[in-house]
Amino acid sequence: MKGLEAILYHNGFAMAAVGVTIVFTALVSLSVIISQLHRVLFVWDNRKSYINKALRLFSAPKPHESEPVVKYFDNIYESARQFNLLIRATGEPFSLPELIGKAETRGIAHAHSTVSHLIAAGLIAADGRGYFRWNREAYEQLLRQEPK
Amino acid sequence: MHLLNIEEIKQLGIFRDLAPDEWAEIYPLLRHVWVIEGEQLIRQGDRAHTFFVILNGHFMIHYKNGRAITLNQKGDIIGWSSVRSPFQYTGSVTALTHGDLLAIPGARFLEMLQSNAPLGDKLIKKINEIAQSREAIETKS
Repeated sequence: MKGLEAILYHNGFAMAAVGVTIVFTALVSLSVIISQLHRVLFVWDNRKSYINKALRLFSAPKPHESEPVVKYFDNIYESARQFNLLIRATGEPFSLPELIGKAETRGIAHAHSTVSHLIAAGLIAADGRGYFRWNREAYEQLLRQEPK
Repeated sequence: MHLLNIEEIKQLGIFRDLAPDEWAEIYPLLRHVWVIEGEQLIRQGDRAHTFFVILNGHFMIHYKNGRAITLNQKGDIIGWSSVRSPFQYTGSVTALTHGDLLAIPGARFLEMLQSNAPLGDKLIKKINEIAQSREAIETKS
């Protein structure tokens, strides 16, 4: 038994078809994965935002128009002390995003909203050139108001 | 949009001078979005696809050179690059607090501004003023 007869006898054509199908399927899968890789990378680059969004789905409901924006400022005096030390170490004028980054690195909770509160309280002030300064007068005045 | 007070939105700086028919054109484009503290809304260098109007919250616009400004006034705008060539965000925006904004798809907003000259004139003038002040901060030495 030789040639085509042997191939037919040993299911050669069926095996060839299966082989082609497997290879073709693998190539299609690979091309789909490569074509969608940019999406995966985009999600990876923005993972912080996506994690926050995912957490939000399982946390408190969206605030309604009439509800006040949530604030986390438990103790402005303590926050002011922490940032006073941090800014003294950083120097002035300072970059606001860098300050927030350093605060997060040092484990200060809710660094973003704390900075927002310090700006609103006049403790951190813009210098008009894109950098910020620590308002020592406002800081000392705040500490004088601190309940004993 | 049903949670928002439409009359209040009409009084925001960017929409204040719109005629009723112009407002009717822009209103269907508005989406209400929420952000949480620390969320990055925009990343510098990305394709500018959305224009935002602040309703609540405190936001920081920051640039790669370390400079930043903060916005917390209702009606302040973010993402003007979505209606100006080369349609690329010139700064990053991070929410300092929880907040909510109106989001307008940049391409549709631009299309509307281009197809309606009087409306385009009104809004582009306001957007350009803001863009110039932001660019000044970004490029100050």
